[in-house]
Amino acid sequence: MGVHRLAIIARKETLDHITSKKFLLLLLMLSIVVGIGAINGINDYQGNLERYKSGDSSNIPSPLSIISPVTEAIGYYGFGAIIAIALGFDLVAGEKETRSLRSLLSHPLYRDEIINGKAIGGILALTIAITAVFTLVFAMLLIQGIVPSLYEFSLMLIIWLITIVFLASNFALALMASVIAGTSSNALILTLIILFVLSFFIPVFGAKFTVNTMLGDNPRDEITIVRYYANSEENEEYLERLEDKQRDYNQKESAINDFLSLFSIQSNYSALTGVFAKPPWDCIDGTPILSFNEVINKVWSELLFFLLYPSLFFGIAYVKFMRMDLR
Amino acid sequence: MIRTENLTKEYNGNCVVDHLNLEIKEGEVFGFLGPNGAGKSTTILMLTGMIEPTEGICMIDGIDVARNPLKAKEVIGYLPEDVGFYGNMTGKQNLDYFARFYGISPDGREERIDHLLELVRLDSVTQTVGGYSRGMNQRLGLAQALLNDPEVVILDEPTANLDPEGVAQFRKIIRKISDEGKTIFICSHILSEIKQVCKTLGILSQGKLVAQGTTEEVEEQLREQSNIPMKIIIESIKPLPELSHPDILEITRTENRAEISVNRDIRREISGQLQEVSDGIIEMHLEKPGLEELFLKVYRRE
Repeated sequence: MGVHRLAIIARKETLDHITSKKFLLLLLMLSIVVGIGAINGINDYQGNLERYKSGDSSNIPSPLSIISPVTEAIGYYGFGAIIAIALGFDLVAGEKETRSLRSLLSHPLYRDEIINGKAIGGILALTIAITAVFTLVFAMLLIQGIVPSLYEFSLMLIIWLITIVFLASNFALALMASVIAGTSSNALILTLIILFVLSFFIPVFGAKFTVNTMLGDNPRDEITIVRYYANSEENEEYLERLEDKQRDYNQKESAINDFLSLFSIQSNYSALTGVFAKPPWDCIDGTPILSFNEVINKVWSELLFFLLYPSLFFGIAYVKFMRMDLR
Repeated sequence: MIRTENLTKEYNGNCVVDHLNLEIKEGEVFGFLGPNGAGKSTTILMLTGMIEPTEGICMIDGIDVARNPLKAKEVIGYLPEDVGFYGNMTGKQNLDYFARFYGISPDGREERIDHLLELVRLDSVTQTVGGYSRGMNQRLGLAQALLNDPEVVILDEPTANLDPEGVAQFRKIIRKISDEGKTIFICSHILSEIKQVCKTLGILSQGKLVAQGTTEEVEEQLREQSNIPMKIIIESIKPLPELSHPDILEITRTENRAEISVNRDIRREISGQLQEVSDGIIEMHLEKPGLEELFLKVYRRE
């Protein structure tokens, strides 16, 4: 693979993205949503600061709390996924439709340079978008006189990086669909179906089905009935056994739910940004209670799945593109 | 300049190109014909290094295309059928993007692109390619095929979307680049076009090369396969005598005009029978079936 040729494609793709009306419109929309989230976060922060100053609260609010509404807008409300999918779904399918792919391939370059260049171009454009949005939020903090410490700033950088990987996952998903599907419209539909399956079908329906199949009926109803009639010693013992069963059931149900949530890119993003934006390992007098490694240990499975998705989607896109029939 | 040896491509066990052996010399303008699904496009994709053959080799200017596709692409210019470009960019920007892959300096690119846009008469067009007509797109396609000043130019249906003026312009360009000693490989359904610009022809049918040679040689091969007779037309101001010859298949005649169907040229032999009206003969000529007629006859039958 030639770095020079890869750079030519990546440069063209990045410029195509960032100068397109679609990108500018989506960036404007994202900036507005994130800006509103940041304003809400700033108001909450200032309210909490007032309460701390007046002695109503013993917790010093952190500027990191302002980032939570921002990551919610990007992750939970789906604006990040929208911008990433919008950039990726017609990258290959669109070139097939306009027949520019064959023209491009007739010049001296390898197929893998095209798919890699497109991926780099898209991720660079998304990085530019997210950097612009985070810079906007940071500027709003400074305008309001909220200056994060170096430690808080480094956590913001980690959240920024996680956000880029989150967008890259969605982008890689759309790119994969773009390679698999014959047309842009089919690629968009395929992307949305896969996203629905991963974000909703597996974690919600899949979890309910698995819990019902593996664990059977929830002992909760039986406990209610037994409690209602429980007045003998024998019933008390039975009730205790049921309550043990309930605890065991809840643990297993929680484990199933946690495992199937790992399939959701958005859930993993929320879990990872949550741990850095609302640190349960918050510092006391500037000293973190938990080390960075200890924090990573708490979210290692989310992190693993979170990093697995972009690699998996891009891997499939790469293989399919290399084998694509050009006739 | 172009040579294939047992070039074969199979898709899911189905042989699309079957042991194709082609030899095209330097400076030749070669026409590649065949009915739909004959394997022409697949052959072109293998020649241009876009797909790998299942078996056999193809060499362009001594370069094994499958082993060295980038090197081969540097000496090939290719105009795909229904060529496409980036609609958000101008013609010049599209060409500049493609030219970057050849490592041409910015000044060199500018000069070459300006020259090519002038050649295809798109030099004054400033709109983005999204607003181009199909003919303009095709002309830009020809320009992009010539970007690297290639030794071998492969054109797939080059005149498909051109108006008569565009076709005439295309012929002029082909002659110009042929005069420069380039080897040109044209794949087309427009047989009259092929006959006008090509010196040699090859016909592909069901993945196999069924005829190859000069235009006349291929016409002869097809005529033999098609069994369409030639016609000798005789017109005279005097009434024509009775004509007889063992090779005459059929005669359609009036008093002063005869159309004689034959399998070979017998004008010399029958001219003796026309002695008595020799001073009244207006014309006597041989009409051979056209390439298109022969092609249709042979491949309709298949």
